[in-house]
Amino acid sequence: MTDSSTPADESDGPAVFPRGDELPDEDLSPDDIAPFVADTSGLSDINELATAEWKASTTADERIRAVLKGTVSPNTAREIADTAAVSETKARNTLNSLAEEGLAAIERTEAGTTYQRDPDRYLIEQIHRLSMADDLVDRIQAAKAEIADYRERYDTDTPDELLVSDRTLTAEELSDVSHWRTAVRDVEYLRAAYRIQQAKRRTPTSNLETSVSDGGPASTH
Amino acid sequence: MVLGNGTTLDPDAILVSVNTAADQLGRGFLRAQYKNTRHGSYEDAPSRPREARITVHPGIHQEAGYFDIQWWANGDYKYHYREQGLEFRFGCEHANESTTHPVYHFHPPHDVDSHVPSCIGANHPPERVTRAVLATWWAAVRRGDEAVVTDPTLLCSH
Repeated sequence: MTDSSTPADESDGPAVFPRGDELPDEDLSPDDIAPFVADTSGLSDINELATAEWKASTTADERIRAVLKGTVSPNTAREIADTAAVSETKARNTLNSLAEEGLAAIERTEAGTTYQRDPDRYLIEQIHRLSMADDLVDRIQAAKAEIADYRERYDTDTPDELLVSDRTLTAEELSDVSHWRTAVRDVEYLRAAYRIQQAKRRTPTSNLETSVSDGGPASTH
Repeated sequence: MVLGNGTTLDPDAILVSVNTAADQLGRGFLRAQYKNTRHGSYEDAPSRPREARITVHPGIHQEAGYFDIQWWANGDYKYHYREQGLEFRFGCEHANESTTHPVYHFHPPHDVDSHVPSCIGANHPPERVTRAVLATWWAAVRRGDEAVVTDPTLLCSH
């Protein structure tokens, strides 16, 4: 599965584009697709347009949940409201409800109240989604093989050791650090998902299937 | 300097971007493929995707194009559009703070190595960034001319 002839990110080359069987059978004109509610011909501000389109296809609650899901540090209701394109009052009310549901972690200080996604809940949702896959053992092996490649290439056990080594890292090597760290995390997640799967199989009356109803972003399949 | 600056990839943001593009484009969204390991081949099913490639239709001058999409834990992202004879890229690269390049930047068609400031707002989530990128691409599709993306200042509010 590893193509050793392309050590760099071959995806950055210019000669990659759809051809042959990827092209559509039917000939659609832009008018048939019309993906935007707003008129893009007199495009003036793409941020305004993007926000208008997002608002047209979602509720305020959905946008607040979406923004909350991306928060890895404390945010005020005002900040989340701006990003979610809702009023501050709406954001605060919804965030307080989400905190009651366990989705938001809330922190009250003298300076004000901040919100971020509940890290444990987020982790469990990610792992629960993975636990639906039927090829977890293969996925674990692929991630382990990737980690073994990095260890051999750098003669170092962990990406963090590589970062603090005397070596000056090139952009390509720093990109390896990103992927190495990701592979290490993925193995942990995949193993946890595999354990959940095993537990479910040993528990015929398990209600794990329905314990997390809001299980992360839907797959496109 | 490098995208992600050593932080992990963000598979959740990558999946949100793909779902956003599918919702927004409808029949113009032909296919999504995923790289689930760094040098693995593209697969139809996402696991913990490091990169997504979506096939969109129609292209600017061709029948179809690709967007390759990546997000990192530090908020960096890359949207790389390609069709035969044409490519451009929207990026967010926080490590550029220590360089002369803009953090939010755009690599225009026919000069993809240059960095020009991007009009996409700071700290926007994948739901908004994906729509902004697609709106830019769509404006070029409608005109059958990439000039609108060549000069991104056309896309900023004045």
